Amino acid sequence: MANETNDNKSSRTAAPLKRLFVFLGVLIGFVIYAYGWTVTDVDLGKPQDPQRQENVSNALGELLSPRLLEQEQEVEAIAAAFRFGCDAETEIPVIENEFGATITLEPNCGEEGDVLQVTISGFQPLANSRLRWVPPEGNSRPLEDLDTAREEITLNENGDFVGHITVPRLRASDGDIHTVELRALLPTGPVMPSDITGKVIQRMIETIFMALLATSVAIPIAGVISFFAARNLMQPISLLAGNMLVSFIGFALGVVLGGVLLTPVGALGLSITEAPQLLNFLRSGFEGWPLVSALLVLLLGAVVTVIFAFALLFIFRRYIDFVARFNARRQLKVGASSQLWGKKVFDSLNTVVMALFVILALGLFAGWLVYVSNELIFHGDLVRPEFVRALDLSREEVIPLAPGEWLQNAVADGFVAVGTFLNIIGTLIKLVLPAIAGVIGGFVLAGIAGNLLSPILRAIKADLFSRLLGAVLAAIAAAILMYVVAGMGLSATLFGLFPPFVAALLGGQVAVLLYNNGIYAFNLLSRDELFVLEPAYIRYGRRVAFALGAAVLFVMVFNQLNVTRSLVDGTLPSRDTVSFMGLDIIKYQWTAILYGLGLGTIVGYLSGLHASFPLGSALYNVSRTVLNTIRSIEPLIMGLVFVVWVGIGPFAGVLALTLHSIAALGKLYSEQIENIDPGPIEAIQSTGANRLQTIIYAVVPQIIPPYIAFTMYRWDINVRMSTIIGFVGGGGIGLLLNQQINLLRYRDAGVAVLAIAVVVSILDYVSATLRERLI
Amino acid sequence: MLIIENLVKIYDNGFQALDNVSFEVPDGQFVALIGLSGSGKSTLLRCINRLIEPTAGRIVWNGVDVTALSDEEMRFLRRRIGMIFQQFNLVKRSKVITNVLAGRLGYTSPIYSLFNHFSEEDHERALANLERVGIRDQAYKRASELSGGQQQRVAIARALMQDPELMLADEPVASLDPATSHGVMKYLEDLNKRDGLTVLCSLHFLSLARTYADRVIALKDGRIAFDGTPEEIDNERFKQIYGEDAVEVQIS
Repeated sequence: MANETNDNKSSRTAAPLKRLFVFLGVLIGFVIYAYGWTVTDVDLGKPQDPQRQENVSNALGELLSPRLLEQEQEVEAIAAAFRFGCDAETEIPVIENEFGATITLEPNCGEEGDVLQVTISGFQPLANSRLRWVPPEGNSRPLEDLDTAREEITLNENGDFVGHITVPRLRASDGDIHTVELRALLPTGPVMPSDITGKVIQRMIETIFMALLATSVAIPIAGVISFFAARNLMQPISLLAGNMLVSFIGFALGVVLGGVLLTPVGALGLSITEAPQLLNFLRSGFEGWPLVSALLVLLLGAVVTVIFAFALLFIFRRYIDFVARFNARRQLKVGASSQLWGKKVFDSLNTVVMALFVILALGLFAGWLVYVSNELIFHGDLVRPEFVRALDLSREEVIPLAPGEWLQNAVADGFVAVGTFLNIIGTLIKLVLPAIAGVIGGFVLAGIAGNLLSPILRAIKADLFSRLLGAVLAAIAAAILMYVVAGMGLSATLFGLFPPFVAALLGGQVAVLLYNNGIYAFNLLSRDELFVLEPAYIRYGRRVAFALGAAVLFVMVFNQLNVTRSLVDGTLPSRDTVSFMGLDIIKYQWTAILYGLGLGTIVGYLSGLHASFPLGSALYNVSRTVLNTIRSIEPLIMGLVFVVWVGIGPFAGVLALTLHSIAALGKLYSEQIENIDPGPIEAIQSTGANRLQTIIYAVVPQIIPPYIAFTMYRWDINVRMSTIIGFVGGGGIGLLLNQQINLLRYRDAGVAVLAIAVVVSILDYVSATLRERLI
Repeated sequence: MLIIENLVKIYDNGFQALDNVSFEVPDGQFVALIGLSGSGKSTLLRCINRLIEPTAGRIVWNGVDVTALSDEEMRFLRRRIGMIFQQFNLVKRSKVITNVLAGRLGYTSPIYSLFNHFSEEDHERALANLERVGIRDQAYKRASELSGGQQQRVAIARALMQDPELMLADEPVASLDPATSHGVMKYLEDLNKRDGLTVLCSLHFLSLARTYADRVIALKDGRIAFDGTPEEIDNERFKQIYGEDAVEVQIS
């Protein structure tokens, strides 16, 4: 009770002070906010400037009268004669006009600067027309109606008009006969969508597909990443330090070995489907029946793919059943770890077989795809009508086609589209096969190393031997890490910050371990009490130790690697090499490796093999940082880079949008995972399911509805973004819009703006409706 | 035989949930864990299948030191320990049959799980287990369409899929009405009596413990406050466990 009243009293005395702080805070905030109005150049005078007002109303007026429709127009003209010098003797001819229309000048002779009255009657009603002065030689010039001060003249309903013009300054001598001509643009033929409307529709379709591709490619990648960026899934994952080190070294070795040993296996798969010309007979057998041959290729391709898939699946199932039966026999003896040795060895062999199987299957699949798709494109093209095939049709040209030919073309386009798509997929797999081989090799070796060595590592007592072994393993692991990171540093000056950063993390860890050991050494807390019952100041001290250690190492490595130099000059570190055991290693990386060795040794020695390594948190932090960094770069900027890489066009836009979508969706997805009900995870875990199974059965069902909703939302965003990514050359409607704006064709630009508005609002509505239904 | 020796659990925030808890449970016993909220019942149950890592102490089950097992070995062990929860912990959007089949995951290859594949035998077993808890006809509904009592029975069927020798039940009836509670408890009793499963069940109501349990262990502030038969709990013992102000409530 006494405490409470005390608190009350102090809070009452603190109130005025607190209010003052709040007041000061608001005041400072207000000043900062006010400064923003200066920085952004807000000037109310500018919008009031009449010239600017006229400009903007003109531009807006044109934007808001988009050139959607067009009609062919014809020029019709009537004319009247005019003589310079009323005293000259030349006769003023009477010009016969068509349509029974008349145009008279009053007076019809005079000097330059004279004002003439123009009277027109019986011409085309309501026609938009202009008056022009036509000298006998030289260029005609426009005339202004003095009454309206405009060049355009609109005739009344009877085709009549009365106005005044000034005789222009000309080099004319007395007696010259000039004419005044009225030219009217008369619409003929039907009203048609304008040229620009057609182009806009074409570009808009391109834009929608850009968004669709970017979203669809981003979904699976973001889906996988999102699991690593979900705190609730990652936080509980930790490994014994010994296990972690062995697996890490195994992974690094596995990447190299996988690249060397598995890539040829994949290449073998590729070569099998490339070698025999399986479908050759079609090229000769069905000449004159291109549609039949194309359909046969499609059918055969599909059938063989399905048979191939089923065969693989069959082998795979048999194999898994065999593995399951083998494991079922082992599984009954639960407990003593020595009884699991057979299973461990078997599991290790099993992963190797699986890896070989997957790589071979991928290679076969990619090769087959490339082969079939090429055939499909070849036969699809044969369906086209003769003359189109011969023309090598460029997209811009419009050739009128008969309905039958149009249909032939559409069918051919369909075949070619499917073929091209399959070809791209096959080629993509082919291209990334070495990388996949490396990653698979890494995981296989990491898994085997962890699996086989973990019981041994666990059996080692926590004594000097454990520390020494820890030191060796950690030194190797840290050296590999620093080598990789320094490798990145060789590619860009900004990445040069990575080695000092990683060294700082290691240095901070060294400081924390020293700090903990110091606490034991001075008997401040026992080992059991540490972390559990430690007072706040001990925890605070640990943070300070980490910061200090990190700062020291950062500065040391920063200076040693001469990062300042490369940051200032923008030059990359030198590629001078040193020789070590017959290997040429770049000096820059060698320095980093030495730091890694040193720091790794200390960390490993101090923590031993039995410390726990928060693998989950590490993965979480890395993936979150990467996602946030990529997400913070606007697709427009990414577009600039991709335009340099793949050239101007929609492909660059798709790449930029895909990269950004991966980061954005990854973040959104992972937040959905963090929001799920943890109960089912606990329940599925308690059945003995492993981590993958827990995710499939407890996490995935819960996140599907929000994933779909966010994917729709993202597609919506991508359509909006792809409308502007063309401004940097990324293709789509933005490219067209940019061109029209630069050419000051605001009426044409207006069509594009209208199209964007219509498409975006339709998509907005559709995606909102779908989202509502799905959740 | 389940042996708990000097079990201690201190959470990261410093809260001590279990303080030197030791007891033994012979095979085939129905043990009720009682105590106030926060007395450590849930923590104790979750330490046994190591959903929560104990800070210190040993758990030995059928001669295996559970606390010393690696993650992989622990998964092997968990397959024989069924568990049901207060909130049923079903995946609500999945079908009932999928939820039940999930109990078989420990015996299924993870690669099969990628394609949501279970063997024919497992499917039959799942239907048989649903039959046993009386809701076979609901097998292809979504779990969320079932009532609370039915959901808990699905959870029991899921645990049965594991072929368990030990059943952990964490407040299985706390979110159910009294009539349904008895329905669910009857199934647990049936498992204990007919199949000879050892059951460790935490309960809020002493009356339920009196009806179903062979033995009652009471926890108070992470320590064992009582260990004996339900009949031995008189008014004085009751006040020791639940505090001076408590009055026993009957659940009929």
